[in-house]
Amino acid sequence: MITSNTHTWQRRERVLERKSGLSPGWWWVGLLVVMIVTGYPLLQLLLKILQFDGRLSLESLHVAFTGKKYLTSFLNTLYVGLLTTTFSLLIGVPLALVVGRIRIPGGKLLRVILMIPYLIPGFVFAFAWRELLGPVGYLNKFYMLISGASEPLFSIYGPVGVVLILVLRGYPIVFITVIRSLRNMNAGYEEAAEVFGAGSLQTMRTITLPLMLPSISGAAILVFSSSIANFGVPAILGSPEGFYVLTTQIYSTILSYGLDNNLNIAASLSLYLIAAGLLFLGLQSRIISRRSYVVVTGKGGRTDLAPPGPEGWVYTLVLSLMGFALVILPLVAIGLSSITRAYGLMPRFENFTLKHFTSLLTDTFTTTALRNSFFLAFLSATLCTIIGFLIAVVTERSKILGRKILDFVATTPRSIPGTIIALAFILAWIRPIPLLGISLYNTFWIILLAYLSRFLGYTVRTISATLKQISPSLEEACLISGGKNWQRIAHILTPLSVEGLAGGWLLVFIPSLNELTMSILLYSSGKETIGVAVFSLLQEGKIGRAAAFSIVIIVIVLLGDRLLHRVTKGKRSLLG
Amino acid sequence: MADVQFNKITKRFGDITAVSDFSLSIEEGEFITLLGPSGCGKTTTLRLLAGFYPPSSGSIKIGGEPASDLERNVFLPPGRRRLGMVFQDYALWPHMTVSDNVRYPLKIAGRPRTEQNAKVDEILAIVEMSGCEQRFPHELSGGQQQRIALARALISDPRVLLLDEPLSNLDASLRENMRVEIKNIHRRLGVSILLVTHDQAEAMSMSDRIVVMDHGCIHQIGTPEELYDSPVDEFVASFVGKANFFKVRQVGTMLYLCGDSRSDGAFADEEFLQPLESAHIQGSPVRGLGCAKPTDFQISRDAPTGAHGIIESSLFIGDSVVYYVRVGSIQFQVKTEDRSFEIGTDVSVSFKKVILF
Ligand SMILES: Nc1ncnc2c1ncn2[C@@H]1O[C@H](COP(=O)(O)OP(=O)(O)O)[C@@H](O)[C@H]1O
Ligand SMILES: [Mg+2]
Repeated sequence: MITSNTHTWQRRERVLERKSGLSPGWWWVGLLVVMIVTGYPLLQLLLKILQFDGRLSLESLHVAFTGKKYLTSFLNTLYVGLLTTTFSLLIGVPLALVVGRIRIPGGKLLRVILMIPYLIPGFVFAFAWRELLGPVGYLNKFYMLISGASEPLFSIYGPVGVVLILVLRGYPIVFITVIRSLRNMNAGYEEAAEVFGAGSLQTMRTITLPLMLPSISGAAILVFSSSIANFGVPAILGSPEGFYVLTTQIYSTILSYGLDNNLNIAASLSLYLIAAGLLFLGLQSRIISRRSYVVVTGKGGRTDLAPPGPEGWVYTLVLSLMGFALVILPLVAIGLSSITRAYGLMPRFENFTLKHFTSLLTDTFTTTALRNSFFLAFLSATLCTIIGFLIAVVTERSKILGRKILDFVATTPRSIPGTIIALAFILAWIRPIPLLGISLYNTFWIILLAYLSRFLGYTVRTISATLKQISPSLEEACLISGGKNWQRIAHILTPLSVEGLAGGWLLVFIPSLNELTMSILLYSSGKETIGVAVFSLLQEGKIGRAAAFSIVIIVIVLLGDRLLHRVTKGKRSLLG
Repeated sequence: MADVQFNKITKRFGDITAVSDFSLSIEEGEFITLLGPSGCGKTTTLRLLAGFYPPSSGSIKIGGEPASDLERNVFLPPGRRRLGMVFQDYALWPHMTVSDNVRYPLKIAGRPRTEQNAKVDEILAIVEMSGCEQRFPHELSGGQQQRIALARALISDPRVLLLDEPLSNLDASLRENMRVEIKNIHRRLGVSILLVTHDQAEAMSMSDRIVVMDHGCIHQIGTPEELYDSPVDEFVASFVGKANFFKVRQVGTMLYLCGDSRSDGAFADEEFLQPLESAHIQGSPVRGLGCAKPTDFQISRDAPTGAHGIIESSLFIGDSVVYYVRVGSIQFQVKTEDRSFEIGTDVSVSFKKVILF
């Protein structure tokens, strides 16, 4: 009798064991929604790769891998990625070593200025540089004016410009990663070397740099994968010159309505990027897991910076020049464009006007875009926060089978380029949903779904990290006081993760607000977003208004980051 | 009627058996302590009672009613077991005031507000924390947080109060105070208490009965005196108070010492100890592991019986002295009030009492 019971007991124990975690009944609903929102479109994408002329075939792949312009865009992507990574490291690492180890007069402010390019959306920054160094940019005009030359000094269009802007967005990533691990590094290693008579340069070469290697390579991977995924920068500075990378090539292939099987070819092209993304995701998690026991000890980090010697001022000078040339100048340029009456006029006082700014609020095109973007950003941030919270609760607190898969499906799209997500959504929803007969294509909701898919990972990660910090005994105390699971969530978990919830919300709100990459592929007339509006205004040559709009974006982004900084008590901001 | 009954409880986590065949009944108003080294399954036992997870086999009854009983498919959630619990880290909710923390169980139970207030006042008075209602936990010291955690655990008149290493986060002097405090509360409210600790002094000074555990198994259940005076095995003897272990052998009417507790008991470095009749032996004296507390010895300069020893060092601890006395290959710790022995003195060592396992 006992043996026959043993089996039942074990089963009951397992069931109860699972229930003793937080086992909300709706977990599978969340999983289903996430699966549909993110999994289904990506599945469609993979299916399309294997089709040609509506039949099962490898022809699309063949075209994508042999067509001359496709091959060129692949090589261009590689070229841009490698150059961007190299130069980002060359700037970011020394910068971090200097700022992280030596007290520089004015260092705080300089640091803030030098990090700004990372915050501003790529297409806005590319636009700003265009205003400075485009064929009719202020610097070129100035040069022609004083030298009398008829040709501009330097044109930002083409591969050099694309790489330049991507480097400006890449070195902050390197800087932040390196300076973080520098902070956590046990100063003892360095001090030990100094005790043995190593000079400070020698210490850096033999001790500091080797110890930093894992975090440097992690940053390199991050820069490489984010630069090959970028769309806005090559779209503004490359495409006009005929310089295409994969993202812009996929974009124009999708819009090539005349080309047969264009969507299949675009899907096949995205395979390059997906493969690269997965490769780097794997590499990154390996490096991170190795790093955890190499350098970061938590305690004993060096917080005291070396006192400023006379060379401190030299650094100040160099960094100020850098900040001025790389950040301030282009922002001034776009600022001037936004207040100049007509494009091409000299920046003189009599040519200045605020009409571009006021027109933002009067023109229906721009007001619609503003309204749409705020609405979309609010909805996507709020939904991502709620869904992300539920998913994080399930993955962190329940003992349900399949919770790891849920986490994986929810966070993977974070590392897939926006262009590909958008393509997948087009493929998935271009036809009306079977049974329901509703079409998502050309509606607002397809954009919202794409945002959800892309940004959900941010909230899941942020909130998971917050939940990890909450001691389980706080919830057990609630349970033993008679609380039910919903009370445990409502009374204990939610108020205690407020910081993570607000941080996650902002982390989705800000990029949603100025999203370009996915919106440009998914919008339809009347559904324009801020990003789409700036892009269109730029294409139509309405530079003044596009510049004014960009200034608004820049202000919002900087304010948003300050808010994020305050809400998360400095944990998630860039501008220190 | 017993308040709590563990009946052959076993709990496995994968391959680890955290608690094995654990049976215990806690009488009404009793103060019981689970004592054992870290990792021996004390917390798991407590949490099994609290209902944070089901047992792998066996059953638990609370107040005569089955609470965890897989055979009958009964499993009450923690909130319906009428238990109070003080967590090791106190688990006070940082976003609630002291008053809100303490009233939470009543609020969940849907008691009227006036009753809540009255109860909160009453219980805060008992733990001597009146006047702190509007403070937040982080504004309190460790000892004060402990009191609030106690108040929250007690407010809904629990049948049993569970305390998981409640004193381990306090500094030494505060720990003494809280021991007395918890004893007082126990006496005043008459609530049954199940305390978990790895500190034998804490267990000895507070409990009515102690359950000594190791590797998930119960070694002995008994009053502090029983555990101290007649431990059932080496583990209990070593865990409850300090003890000297050594191998002994009976030859005729004499007791011989044959090496330290790890030796194989061969004759090699055998040393005459003392006549059997003067040794107050518990257990069968033919041959075995002997155990004697530091206070179980008698040392003197000129006693005729006893083994020959040399004082190797001494520790003055106020009311008495601990001497390290070498007899053959063994060093005994001997505690006595006689301070007159100098290092290097030859002494005669004999037992007032030996326990043989
Ligand atoms: N949730 C769990 N999952 C797996 N193993 C556990 C779990 N809880 C406890 N254990 C294991 O059970 C054993 C007993 O743990 P515990 O009851 O916490 O010991 P104690 O409180 O006496 O220090 C330990 O080996 C521990 O690693
Ligand atoms: Mg424990």
